[in-house]
Amino acid sequence: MKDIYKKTQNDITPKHLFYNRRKILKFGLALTAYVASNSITSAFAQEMFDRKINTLEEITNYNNFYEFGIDKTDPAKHAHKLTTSPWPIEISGLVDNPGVYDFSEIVREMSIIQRTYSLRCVEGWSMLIPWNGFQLSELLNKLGVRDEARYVSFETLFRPQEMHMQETNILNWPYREGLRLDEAMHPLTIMATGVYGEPLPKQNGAPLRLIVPWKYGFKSIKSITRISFQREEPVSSWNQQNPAEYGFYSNVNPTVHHPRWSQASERYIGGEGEGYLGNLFTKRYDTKLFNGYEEVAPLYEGMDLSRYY
Amino acid sequence: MYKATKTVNIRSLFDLVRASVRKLRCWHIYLSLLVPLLFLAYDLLSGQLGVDPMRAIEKSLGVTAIYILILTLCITPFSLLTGINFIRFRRAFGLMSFFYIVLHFSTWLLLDMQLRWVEIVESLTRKPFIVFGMMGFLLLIPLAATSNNYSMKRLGKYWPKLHKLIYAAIILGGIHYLMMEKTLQNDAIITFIIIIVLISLRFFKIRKINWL
Repeated sequence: MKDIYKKTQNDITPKHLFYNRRKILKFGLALTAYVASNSITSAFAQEMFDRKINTLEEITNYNNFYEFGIDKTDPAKHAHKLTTSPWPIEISGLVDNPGVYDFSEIVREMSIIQRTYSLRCVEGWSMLIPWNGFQLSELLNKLGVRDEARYVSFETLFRPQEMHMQETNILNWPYREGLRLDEAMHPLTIMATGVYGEPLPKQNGAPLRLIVPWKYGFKSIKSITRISFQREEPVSSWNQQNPAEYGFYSNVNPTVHHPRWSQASERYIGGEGEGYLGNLFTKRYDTKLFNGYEEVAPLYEGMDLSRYY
Repeated sequence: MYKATKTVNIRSLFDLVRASVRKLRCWHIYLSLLVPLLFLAYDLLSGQLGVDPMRAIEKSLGVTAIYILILTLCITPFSLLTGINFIRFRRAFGLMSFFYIVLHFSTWLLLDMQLRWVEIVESLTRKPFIVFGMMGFLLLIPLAATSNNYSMKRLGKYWPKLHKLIYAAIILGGIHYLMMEKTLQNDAIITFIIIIVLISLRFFKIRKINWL
């Protein structure tokens, strides 16, 4: 895999092209996945466009990946130790084609798309990140998920030799997450394999991670090695560690009170100025229900979102 | 013979320390406690605070405040142990810690919460992590306000009693630090242990160690 995470934004796209790219992306956003499906309210779309897309440098130096340390700069320091090739992924449970597939085998079969999503962390900050990857639904269709399956569960690699925090008990390793099958099948749910058109940097969850843009960031599990289909609600690591603060659903919701951080608004990391100093004055935006991705609302019709948080 | 020489050396070293401490003035303490702020400013301007400088500043100011407060608590046991009188510098430490807490709180209000009052009030009433920090800060306000000769004279025997609030304040600050992230962090745990040890020292009668 190409060693892209040592490069800066400028090495990948010259500045003038980058700004054009922004326009292209904006245009692409407006035309394709979002407004075409009449998905985002125009006000939200407008507000998203006001934010500049985070640079690769920002995206790769501000990560919550507790396997490599608690501080947001730790993953950038330690993730290089991770071996991502070969990368076997075990598919099991209520599925027609179980087995162990290598990441390269899977990704070869998928149609790669680009999606720029807002990533909203439960800690009250957000970033705008141009992912590439494939729709999870495409993979699930190829695997042939059985009708009895109601949930899908994911597991991060467990390899303490390369992920030193797995030797501590800050979380019950390996990191686990899960989705209801209809959430997993939703067209907005993707498996990211890269950012800015390049393979995923290790600190961002190489080689394969989940992205569920309407849920808090911790649901978007990184460096996945196990996917299984089941009838019961799967374990999710943060829910297990602190059920009062983190529910299974963890949909972005400004009205559900969180005991530690305000969820009514979010600081968008990525200021207007140049470089890190420009980020000193990060702007706060009102957080929207489902992180603004209102088209997922029908998934939760009739559910009390303050109870199933 | 050898032992005697060694004793003399320790004695002269001790005298040297005592003499230099005698030469120290309070403003030396005030100035040197501004050094962490200078380092922070340097780190900010040289881009070393990372992707989210606001969070780095907020945390650094808070941690500096709690460590200066820890130094404040060290002064009495240290003076008792060594027989060197540091007590006259205690006010400088206490007030400088308060100064960093004010900066920490202002950063939170202005750059972090950006004066969004509804959320500020919600945080101050419903989020234990913030409530503990705020209670610690509130307890220190009367202490800072009475850290002057006039108040000491006016309050008389009540002054030391009032200033025992520092113990409650620093414990609240330590809890605030412990609750900062999703999980416990080593730095916060170590800080909390130091605080507990320093407070426990108050329950023992410390006698001056005979160094010579």
